[in-house]
Amino acid sequence: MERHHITALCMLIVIAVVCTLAGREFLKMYEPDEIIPGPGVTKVDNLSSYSGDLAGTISDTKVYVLDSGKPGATALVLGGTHPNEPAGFMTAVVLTEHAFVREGRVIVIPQVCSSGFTCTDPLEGYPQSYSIQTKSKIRSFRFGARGSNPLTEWPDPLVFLQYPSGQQLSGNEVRNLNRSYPGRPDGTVTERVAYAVMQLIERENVDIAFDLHEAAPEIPIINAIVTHEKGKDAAASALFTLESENLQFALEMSPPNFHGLSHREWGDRSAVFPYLMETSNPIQGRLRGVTNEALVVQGIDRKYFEAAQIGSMRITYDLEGEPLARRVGRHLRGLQALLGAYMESTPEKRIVVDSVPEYEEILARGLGDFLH
Amino acid sequence: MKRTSILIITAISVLLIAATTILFPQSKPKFDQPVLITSAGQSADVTIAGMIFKRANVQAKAIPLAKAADLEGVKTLVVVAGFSSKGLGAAGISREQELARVQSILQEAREKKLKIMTLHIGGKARRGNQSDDFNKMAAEVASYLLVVKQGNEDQFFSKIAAEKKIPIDLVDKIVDAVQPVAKAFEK
Amino acid sequence: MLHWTYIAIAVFIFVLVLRELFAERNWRNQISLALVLIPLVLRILHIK
Repeated sequence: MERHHITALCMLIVIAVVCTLAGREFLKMYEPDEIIPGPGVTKVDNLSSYSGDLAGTISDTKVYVLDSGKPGATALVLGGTHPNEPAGFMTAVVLTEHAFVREGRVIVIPQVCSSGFTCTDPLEGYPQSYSIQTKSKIRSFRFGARGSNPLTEWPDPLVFLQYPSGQQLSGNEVRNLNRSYPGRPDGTVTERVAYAVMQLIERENVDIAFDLHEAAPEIPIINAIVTHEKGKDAAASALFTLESENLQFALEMSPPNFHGLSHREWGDRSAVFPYLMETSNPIQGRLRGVTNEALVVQGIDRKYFEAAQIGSMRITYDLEGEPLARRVGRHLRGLQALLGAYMESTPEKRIVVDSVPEYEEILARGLGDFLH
Repeated sequence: MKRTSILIITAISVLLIAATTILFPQSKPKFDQPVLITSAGQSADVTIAGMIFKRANVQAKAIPLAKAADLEGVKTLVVVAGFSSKGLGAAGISREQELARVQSILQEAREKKLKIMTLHIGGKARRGNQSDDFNKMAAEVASYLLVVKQGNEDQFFSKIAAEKKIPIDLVDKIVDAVQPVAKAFEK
Repeated sequence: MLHWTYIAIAVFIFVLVLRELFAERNWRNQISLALVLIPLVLRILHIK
């Protein structure tokens, strides 16, 4: 055997070691997050119950039903449409683990784009997970990618033709759940998930639905409620309530000609009143500095602070940052205010959710206090 | 004696006039119904403005994309300033088209000598490059400015008000805009 | 189908690069070839 063959064999051993170590790290992302159903959960189902072929795939996900047993409205709460927006996911987890429904019914899907939780976006340097100290232990949750895992539906097309509108979007948007509604049963994996959500809305007669998101601090649509035109009066009313509690939200209308979005397609294709809420998440921003777990949880970034100081930022960004607890608090209060406004406009359909932490409470006590 | 009392009366009147000018620098105009609410920049704040007017018990018709022709029979034009890309998308028009529309309706309102009330309620989210063209355009021709303080941290609206001698009210929150609106339409 | 075509292409490239690795006499160049092989392995095994 020649010398260079020996070095080539050594290289192979190194490759095997590196692949094993890296592979183990990557495969950890496939271990599901622990979500512990609280006293309010009356049934745990799977999204595949609404579109069969998702069963057994990494795109199937848990659906938690919190039923009061009393008649009233049904609300749907989606977290994890974009798994790199943790406040949406954590809000859904707090509801699942902590909330109690007194009238009506709440259906929660904390990780609707569940395959997106199995990887992170390339070139972003995102952490794979973040930890939160609860009363009993330290719990770790995955930080995912914006879209579905590319392995589930490779390859992305050059141009994504949204179904059925035919709207053209850049190829990687094909894995963006929030461009894939209403979806189709025989489409891409992301379209099948979208289809299952539409089926759920129809079959469960959902009256009001929430899609919880986050966005970079510098983009115009943050700290906002996006509404379909049919829900705008209730949204304006909710905004008044939130403002009286010193929580500023901007109201944004869903563009009727921008297809595939939850607030557009759910509203157009079903009886539901859809709302999308955004909070401000520094780890998604382009100005961010060190990108790590602390930035997910504490939301403190000096670069954003500097930008705010020189007036480049239209949002208030102070040294306290944008902690996850505050972002979850905003989502929870926004959700409650919108439910209240919905009941004002539709008094015959009541929905009352108890044990949802108040904004100030979650800031003072921390997120972990409301998790098992 | 007679001269003294005339002097005293004159002195008191001068003082009173001076006092009123100091206390009420620019008397707020009274507005009349019917009211048309329109947007300058297509932000959804126009919906919130509708809610403000509802709570103030003032009947108002809201047409975000109102044209000059919609001013027929209207006595007060309310302009809600602030840009939203989502809103423009919803309206299906470009920023330039919106600027032209706002310009033409403001022009028509001025020609018709309508009173214009400009509202800025969106705070910081409705400021910055994209919004400020609309904000300036709507503020400069107003007969009265009602602004939520967060949008005036750099005195943008106060400066316009001082320069153009427009009465302005700054409120802390959107909810606080209800009372000044109600007052402006009091008979 | 497209999916398996992709895997087949990846395996093909893997074999080509592997042959190059053994044909290459300079160890520095072998390192660069090894760096190409690592993501190919992970992709073929459907890990990343």
